[in-house]
Amino acid sequence: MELVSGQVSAVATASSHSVLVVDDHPQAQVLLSRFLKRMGYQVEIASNGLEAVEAVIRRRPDIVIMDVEMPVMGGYEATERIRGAAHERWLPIVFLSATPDSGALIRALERGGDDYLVKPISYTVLRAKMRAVSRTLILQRELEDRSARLAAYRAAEDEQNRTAEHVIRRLATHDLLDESVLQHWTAAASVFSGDLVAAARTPSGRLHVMLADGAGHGLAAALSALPVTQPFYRMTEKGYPLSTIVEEMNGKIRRLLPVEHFVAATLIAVDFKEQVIEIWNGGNPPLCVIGEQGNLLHLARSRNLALGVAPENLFSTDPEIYRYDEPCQVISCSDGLFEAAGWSAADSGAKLLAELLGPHAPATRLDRLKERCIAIGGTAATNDDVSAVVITCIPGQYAAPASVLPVQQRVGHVGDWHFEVGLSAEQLKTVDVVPLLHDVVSRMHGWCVRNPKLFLVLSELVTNALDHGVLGLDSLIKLEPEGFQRYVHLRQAKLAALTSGGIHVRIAGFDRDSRPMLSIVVKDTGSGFDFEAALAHEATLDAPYGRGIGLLRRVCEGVEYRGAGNEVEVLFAVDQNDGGAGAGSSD
Amino acid sequence: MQAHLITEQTVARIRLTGRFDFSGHREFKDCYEAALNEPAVSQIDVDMEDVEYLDSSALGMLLLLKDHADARALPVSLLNCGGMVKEILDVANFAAMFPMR
Repeated sequence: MELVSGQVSAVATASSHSVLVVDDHPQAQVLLSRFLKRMGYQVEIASNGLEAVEAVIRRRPDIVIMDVEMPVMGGYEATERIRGAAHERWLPIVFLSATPDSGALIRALERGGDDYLVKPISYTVLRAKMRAVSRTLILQRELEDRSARLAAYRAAEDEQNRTAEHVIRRLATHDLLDESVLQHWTAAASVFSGDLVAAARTPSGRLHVMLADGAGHGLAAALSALPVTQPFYRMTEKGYPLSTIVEEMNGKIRRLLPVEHFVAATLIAVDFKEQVIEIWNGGNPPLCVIGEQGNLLHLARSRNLALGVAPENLFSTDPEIYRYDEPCQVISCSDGLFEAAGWSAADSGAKLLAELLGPHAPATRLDRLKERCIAIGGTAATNDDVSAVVITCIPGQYAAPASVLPVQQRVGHVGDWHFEVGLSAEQLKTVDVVPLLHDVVSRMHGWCVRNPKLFLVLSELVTNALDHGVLGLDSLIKLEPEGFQRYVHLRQAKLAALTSGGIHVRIAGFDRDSRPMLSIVVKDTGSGFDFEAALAHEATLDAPYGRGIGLLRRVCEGVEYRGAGNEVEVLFAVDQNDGGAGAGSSD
Repeated sequence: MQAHLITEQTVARIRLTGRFDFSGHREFKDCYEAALNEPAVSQIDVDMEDVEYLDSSALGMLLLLKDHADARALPVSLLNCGGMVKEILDVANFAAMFPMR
């Protein structure tokens, strides 16, 4: 305030305000204007009310001194017209009148005047009044400027929020959230949600789901969570495994965000055919797998740092694996929900969650969770964003993705091409071979999107060559109790210890009878297998695991094993297009 | 939240009291900047004994402190983490980033 009053006195003595003097007597005009100019004002003259109204519109004076009785139009009527024109700025009007009684004063103020001077004018009083009016005017103008600036900020912010909200929503959401097996819920503490749920299918039909929670809330949190969406969708659609996606997201968050910002995330991959759930939890409350009766089957607590906290060497990307053999639901929530529900973010909270939801029918459990949250006050009580996902898994049911990805081909002749790649132990440990091969073939054919069947064929061939060929694993292990987990661990251990051996892949594209075909040859350094016996028994052999020969034969036009069984060539017609990414076996 | 800096010889101890969230950002920052500006300091301890609660932005502030301390090669430890504070730090797996005593 000191600063403001300082400004007032400085400006009021040498005022740059302009004054409109309205009087029909030339002598009064001259005297007033001379006096006001000496005080530092700029002066305009009008001879009656009508001229005054015109002058106010054209010259926008800061102060008006108005005689009450004038020809053509009097002071009161002129004042009413000036007020009626609704100027956005305050315009003080001081009346001059020959009538000294208080009734005239009241009338003047009621008609829109701000002050009143009695004729004949006392110049001492006029000076004091003008100073007071100027002081008030300066404060008033400052107030007007501030509220105009505030309104402009507000409008700009509203506009920015609208734009940001639109872009964030577009970037964060994706059609595949329509999955019938997936229910989800997010509620923001402000306009923006720092919590984000995303889902997508890999070309082989695995469902990837992500629940991400940017640190803090509001726009900063929403911006923090955003960079994880593109790697999630892009890499899932290309068929990368969770570990590669998590690594990419961690690096991206570290590169993009300030050091104090990070994203807690849970990534879930469900292979409905194999009945295997992979979970990576970094910084979120425990994920629960509960059975139909609400029994807690599995608890996946946060075993990792949130995305963006740790450099690569401190960061673990290995997911934990759970294989289900009864109908169950995977339930993952952000800490905002645990807090809103009044639960601890540790195991005890997860048990309360299972207890709350257990007695209810699986399809209604997400609604129960919402009710519990809202009953306690929801996001307003915790000032944090809230989100939850529920994935329903039923053995033997593997819902195809809600929308089968269309295969778009470049029109016309593709021409002949081929490439070969040799992968030794080091590459087999670090490179995701199948998405790589699929990507190269896709580019050769100018496809905009993935070909699920080709992805399936490449997965089969590479898995056979690596798992059964190079690593010498027997898929019968998977049939034992707890066999799947054992198989996965054995595979990890063998791969980590691998120092020799490798896989050689040759893929060639050519036209046969005007149909684009692929020849895919995969050769490994393993000892092969008795393919003649396997082919002979194929009709009677109905094992759920094996080398997927039956599948390859269904999808490919030719399957030929060579040598000791460590080399295979398949012919694949590129133009077959009856979709069904999830329809086949994946091993 | 309140933050107090107590420096004893080479150890700077930041004692926090109350709810550790974004509203305590300025106090916490003033405290650790003062600690980092002491040339004699070779170790920073953050005493969490009287912290009632911490949220994700508090975790972010701890990371910010660690980032600045790393630049001066100073170790940062968290002291007396119990109850809810320990639970939240466990979910975040902050033991991988900060020794806890």
